[in-house]
Amino acid sequence: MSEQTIERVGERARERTGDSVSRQVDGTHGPFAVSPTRPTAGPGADGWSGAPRRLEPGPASRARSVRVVVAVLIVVSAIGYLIYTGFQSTTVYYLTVSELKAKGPAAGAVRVAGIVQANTVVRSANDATVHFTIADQGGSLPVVYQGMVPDIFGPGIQVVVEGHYTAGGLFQADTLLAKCPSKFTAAVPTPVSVH
Amino acid sequence: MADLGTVALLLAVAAALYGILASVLGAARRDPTLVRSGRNAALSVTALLVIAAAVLIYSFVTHDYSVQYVAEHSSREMSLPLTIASFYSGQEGSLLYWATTLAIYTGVVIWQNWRKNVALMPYVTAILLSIETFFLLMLNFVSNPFVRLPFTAPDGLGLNPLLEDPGMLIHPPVLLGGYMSWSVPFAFALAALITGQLGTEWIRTTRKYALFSWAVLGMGNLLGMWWAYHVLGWGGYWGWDPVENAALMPWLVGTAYVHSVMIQERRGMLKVWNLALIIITFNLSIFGTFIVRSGVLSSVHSFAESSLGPYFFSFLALSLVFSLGWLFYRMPELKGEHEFESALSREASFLLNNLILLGIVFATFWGSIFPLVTEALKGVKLTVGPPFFQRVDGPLFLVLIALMGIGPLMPWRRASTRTLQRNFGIPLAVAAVATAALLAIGVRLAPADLALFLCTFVLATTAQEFVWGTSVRLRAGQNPLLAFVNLLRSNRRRYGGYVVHVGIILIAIAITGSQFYQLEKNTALQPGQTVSIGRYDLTMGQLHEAAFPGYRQVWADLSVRQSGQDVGTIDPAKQFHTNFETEPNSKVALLSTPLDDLYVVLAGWQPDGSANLFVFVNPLVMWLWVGGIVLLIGALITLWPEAEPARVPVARPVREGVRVEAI
Repeated sequence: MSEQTIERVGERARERTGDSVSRQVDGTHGPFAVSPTRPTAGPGADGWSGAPRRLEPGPASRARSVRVVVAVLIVVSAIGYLIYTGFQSTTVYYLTVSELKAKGPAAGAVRVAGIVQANTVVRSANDATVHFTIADQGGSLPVVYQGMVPDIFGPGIQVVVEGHYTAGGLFQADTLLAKCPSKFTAAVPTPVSVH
Repeated sequence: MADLGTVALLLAVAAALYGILASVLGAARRDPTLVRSGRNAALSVTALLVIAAAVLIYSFVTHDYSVQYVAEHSSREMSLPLTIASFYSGQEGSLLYWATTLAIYTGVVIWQNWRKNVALMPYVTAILLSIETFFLLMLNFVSNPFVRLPFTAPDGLGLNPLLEDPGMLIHPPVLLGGYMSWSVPFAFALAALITGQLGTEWIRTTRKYALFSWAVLGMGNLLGMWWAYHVLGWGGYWGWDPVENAALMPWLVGTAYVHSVMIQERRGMLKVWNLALIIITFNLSIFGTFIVRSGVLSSVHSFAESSLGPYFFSFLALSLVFSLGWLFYRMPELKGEHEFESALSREASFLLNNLILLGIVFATFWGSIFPLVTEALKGVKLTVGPPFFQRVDGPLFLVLIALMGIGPLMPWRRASTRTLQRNFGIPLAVAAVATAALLAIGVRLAPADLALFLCTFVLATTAQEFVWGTSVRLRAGQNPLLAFVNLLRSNRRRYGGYVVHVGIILIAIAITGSQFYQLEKNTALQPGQTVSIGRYDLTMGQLHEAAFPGYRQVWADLSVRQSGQDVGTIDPAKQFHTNFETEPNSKVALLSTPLDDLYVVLAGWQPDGSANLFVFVNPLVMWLWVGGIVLLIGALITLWPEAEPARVPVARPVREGVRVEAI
């Protein structure tokens, strides 16, 4: 009920403040245009739905639009700032093995992709540590990783590791992602090559 | 048989092209015969695609391994439901699935609207057929599911074990259906732009279709999360992978649309914005459909790369240029009828909701394509991972939740202080008490407390709405249950929307719990040894190994005690499927309770009989799925057909472009 009241007041105010649309309209859209599901009196039955008078937008309305634009700008810049700082603080380099070796341990947190080499995977018996070597066209890189290993991880699988290059030449990985070579197009198990 | 499919696809292209031509020419020349002919062409495309799809299903069911697609995606030992589901397990089949469902949906849309929307329908038909044509061209000339092998294989290769799961029966079709179904709101929006009939007609017609698409895409995402959670075995349900992001983005823009369209209906504002939202949602849906296969983004989900990429980007570019071009052309006719009057109004809170949703999409989009951009601009690949999305999207989602509580209780136009006190007093008090209780029991992470404060606030505002609405009816002498049901029926859209909000809040609570309070342990257990995690104690029994038809399985049995109480045994396993010996498949052992899930993965084993286990305790995850069901119920309440026609015909909320032009 209160909504109807609000709408009715709204209609009055609309007539008062005028309308920025410059076209004439007929009077059939009354205040009851609002809720299609609520049975109400027909349009025009309430006496509020005459053709609105047309008035030029006044200074008050212009001030309001400025306020809205300013408010929108503030929100948008806040979101922009959040995104900017997000990028600043979480970006990591995606490097090839040779790029990583050129940069050395100073590279910081990086991501490296490569193929797990045959006969290099060593899993420790009692904790979840895995040692393995990945390689791309530019060279090979020994990796140590502790944590959840994806099911398809194994020799010949392309993996992406994220972590740090240590002074000893070992890559300490914090995350290990394996690409599913055939997740959707199940096929004969073939050796995967770098695309 | 498969050749029938090939023929049907070819004929379908011809019919679709003819249908586009006839519809557009017929509408331009006001030639009803031609328009009807265009419609009939569209319906024959539907029939042809149904035939093609039926042929492919038939080939699967009859194990016709002379068809390459069938041989590569199924095998004789697979169950019937999975064999049928293999239909959409590869690129060719999922394209055919998309095209077929679009064709059927087109038929439904024509049937529902032909008489109602005489002016728009020829264009709607032409646009839907244009989208269809793109898919048909791909199916015929780039990625044809009916291609034959030079020989007949004795048996198929079978489905990847990861896909051999009930999730496979439901997640891909629902997600693809969600993507597909955004074509219809897009077609109506574009038809409105082309015809210049920019009034309420297309909005009113599109409303339910948009809600439907929104619900289907949302369910597709949730089912994907459910599948990932119980199949992939990494203890989570969302990894901010580009493919997941691509599925989330159209849903978020669609969410913005279903809200901001209400402002247009009520206040005649934001017309350009709404059209833009529809256009973006559709194009993001296409983006989501194909990004998986384009190979341009590196993703854990990167399925075999395909040759579709360039075609799909061309289609996307074409569709964007065409639709935005029309939007730009009609811009002068799309002036708003009102202005924002106060920051304390429903319009303003909806506008903020829209900005936040688009902000999330913007951040997610750039985060996903960041490596491409930096490589192109700076020559180095920079990436962002989950921390970026959590950091940026997390706070924005919190603002959205706050708005979910504030928006519905804000009056249109402007709120008075008294209204604010009356509407928000009790919910704020409830939320404060609940948060104090959480602090008392040790939930003391500020973001989690804030999230749960906001969630209880929204639940309280929603409950208050239901109580107020019901009590009015109670006073009129109805019994409580009837009063409640009548309340829902009195304004399905509104109360259905509230139910959807409750579902979203349950999901938010589940995400908060599992994000901030997940426990994780990896351990090696000898038989008889025990590991404790949270309120659970797991004692290792034995390792077992056995062969089953199609696969070999290794599993460990562990007896579980929960707060000292025996609750039975669980057996995490690894399966080695024939054909896929190098890709073992973890079977997660899951013990689900309302408070938390015990989630155990068998990572490996040693010759001495010990098992390497990953054990997670994921708080509140069950509420993710409950929230999904609530969301679905809410969407159904909203979408349920009205028991017309005794009511006043849908009143016209805003000025109609049609009439304006006629004057």
